[in-house]
This record gives sequence, C-alpha cells and structure tokens, in this order.
Amino acid sequence: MGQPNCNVYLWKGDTLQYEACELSYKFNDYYQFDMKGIAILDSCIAICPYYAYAIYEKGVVYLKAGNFLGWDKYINLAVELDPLTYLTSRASCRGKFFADYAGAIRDIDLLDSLVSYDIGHTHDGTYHLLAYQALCYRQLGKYHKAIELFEARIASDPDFIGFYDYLHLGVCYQKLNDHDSALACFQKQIDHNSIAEGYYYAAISYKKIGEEEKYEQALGESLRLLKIKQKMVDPYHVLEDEIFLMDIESLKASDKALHNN
Amino acid sequence: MLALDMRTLLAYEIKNKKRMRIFRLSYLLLCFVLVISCETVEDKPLRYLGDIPFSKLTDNKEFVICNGEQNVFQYFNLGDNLSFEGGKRKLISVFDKEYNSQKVTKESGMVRIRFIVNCNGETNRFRILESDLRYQEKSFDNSIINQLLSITRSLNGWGPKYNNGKAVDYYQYLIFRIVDGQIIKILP
Repeated sequence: MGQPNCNVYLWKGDTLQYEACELSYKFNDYYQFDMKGIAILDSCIAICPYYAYAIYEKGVVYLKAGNFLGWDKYINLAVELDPLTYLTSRASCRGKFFADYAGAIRDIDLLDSLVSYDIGHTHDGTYHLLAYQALCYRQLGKYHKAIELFEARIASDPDFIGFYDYLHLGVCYQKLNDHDSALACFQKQIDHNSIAEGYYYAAISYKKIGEEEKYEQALGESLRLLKIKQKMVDPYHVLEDEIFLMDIESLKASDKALHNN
Repeated sequence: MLALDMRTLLAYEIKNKKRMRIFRLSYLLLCFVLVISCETVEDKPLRYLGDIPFSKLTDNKEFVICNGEQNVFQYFNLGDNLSFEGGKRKLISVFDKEYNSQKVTKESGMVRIRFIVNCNGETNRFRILESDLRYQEKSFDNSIINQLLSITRSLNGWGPKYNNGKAVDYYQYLIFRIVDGQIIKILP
C-alpha cells in the first residue's frame, strides 16, 4: 500500500491526520517487523485514532507473521475507517494467506457494491479482483460460477489479462472434464505467459483424451521450464495450481506403473 | 564503673549494628545478583514482532541458531516462499499420511505453528496460535494440536535459504485451515 500524501489532510483541514501522516514516514526508516518502527505506528494512532494507514500497516506485520488474530483486529479497523481503500487488501489477503475464500468473495462483492468504477486488483497486483473472485469460487468447488466470472473478466478487458488467468480457467474446465476447452485455455496461457504449469496441465488433458505424443511433449516442456524456474512465483505463498518437480515425477511414476501392468 | 560498662555496652551495640547493616546490605546484594542471573532471554524486550526467544520449558537448548538471535530472517525475505524438499506437494503428503482425522474432535478453525529453521535445515522453537474461522481466539482440543505439532516437528526436508551465498536462519510458519477436524488447506 502506497504511503498517503500528507498534504491531502492539510488541504482538508485535518491537522490530526496530517500530523500522524507526517510521523508515519519514519516507519520506513525501520525493517517492517522492528518494534521501534511499530512504536512509531502506535504513536501515529495515539495522535490520530482514525488514521487508517497506520492501523493498516500495523496489521500487515501481523499478516506477514501469519498472525491471523492480530491482522484481523487491525484490518477490520482500517476497513471500518476507509472501506474503499482497504477492502481490496482484506479480500485478497483473506484468500491468499488464510484460504478464507468465502470471506474474500464477500469482501469483493461489498467493494463492488460501494463503487461505480473498476474495483481494481489484489493487494499484490497478481489478479484483477473479479478474476480473483472467480478463483475463490473455484476453490470452493463452484466451477461453473468460476468459469462464468473468469470468462466475463477476460471478455471485459482482453488487453489486460492477469499472469495466470487462462491457467486457472483451464483447470476449471479440466475439473469438469471439458478437455477441449481446457486445452484452448492452456494454449492461451502459454501464448500469454509461458510457464511450466501451462504445459503440465495441458499434459494432463492430453493424457485424458488419449493424445500420448502430445502428452509426452507437453510434460517434457513442463519439466524443462521447471528446471529453469520459468514457473509461477510468489515470495509469500505457493499459488493455486503451482507445480513442483514431485508433480511431474508422480505423473511419470503412474505412467510407469500402468506400463508395467 | 557503671558508666564504663555503659560505654562498653554502647560500643558493642554500635559495632553490632554496623555488622547487622553490613549483613543486610550483603544479603540484599546477593538477592539482586541471583535475580539478575535468573533472567532468561525470554524476559528481554523483543527486537522484532514475532521473535521467538528461547524457553527452557519447551525448547531444545542444543538447537543452534547459526547466525545469532539478531539475524533470523522471515521465510519470505529471500523471495522463494516455502523451501521444502519436494515442494509443498511433498509437505502435504506427509500430513495426508500422518494426520489421523478419525481420532480428533470435530472442530473448525485455524492453527498456526511458527518455528525457526536454522542454516542446517533443523527446526525448533515451535509456537502455536489458534482461532476459529471468524478469526476469534480459540483453543483446539489436544487431539488436533498434538498431532499437528508432532508431525510439524518431525518434518524433515526444510531447505536452507541463502543470502549472498550464505545459509541463513529463518522463521517459518504453517497455517492449518481445519473444518470438522479435517485439514482442508495448509498455508503458505
């Protein structure tokens, strides 16, 4: 979350927020987890108890430590004070950090109901919030709803597709055994952002429809890309549909078992 | 004679009082030294939020933090999230195999186990945090906690992380999202 421009508060005549905002810049002098930096945030809140930015930033430290109790307390306060700014983060962090997909869906719906403009992206920019909502529905097993939302999002802004939107949509179709649609999505993923996962899931669909040669090629390419780390990446979390060497090895092992039988 | 006796007595009493004062001061000094020496790492204020100081009640005193307590990273500081041999799929498979959901209470919520992985991939300083699915504090039954903790402790495959080519120590956590006693998701 970007730091507010403190002059905004001065312009509004809110000297308390202005003072808290000016002090909050000192937080950047410390490593995020440093108790001295957190004490700065506490001082900001003491100056102005409704300065949402400081409350939010304090919550982020708890979030990154996996402390759901601390994070929930502070993010809820921040959302209460400034829902349009902080609902985005609460939604995507609920899903990403705590697999609270239902909570994420609710927050995205709430934000959408409060504004008439594009609700924007997840806190880390990986997904548009509507694509992320589609992914959350998928994680809850609601594949048809997920497909509907993914397709609508892609159609609404074809020039700005997320890194992994086609991949996740393809896996939705795969789960419904619609391998033709799945393969079309995986090809779009490969064209848009060529990663090991695109080839891996394509390999699975090829296998299901009996295209052995294409299965071998796709799996081989997936392995090659995995080895050079051209794959899904996130510093905090293993992403949905992300694969590891063990996934490819498991597929190969099950092939071998089938041949031996 | 009486006056001499009184002076003698007084002198004796004064000397005794001095001795008592010295004794009291020495006793107080000894107590102070004993209290200071009893202070553990736990009593010192935390450097960073979430730091886990050593506890003689729960932690292995042989566990070495290679680069010192002041230099423990967070798992995400080095950009590659989970460093576990075989990846998350392997980690999940260990819990799939070892966690027995038939023998637990049918509770729901989240459990975080946070610990340190040292430069050799060894782990210790396990700490637990629990909540219900609405992020409110809760205590799970031991049938769940003991299993999760035991399996987490037994995990063998934590990779070292490197900073400028040097293996570092780092904080790692696992969050278990539990519904009716079943683990439905492990994060990160």
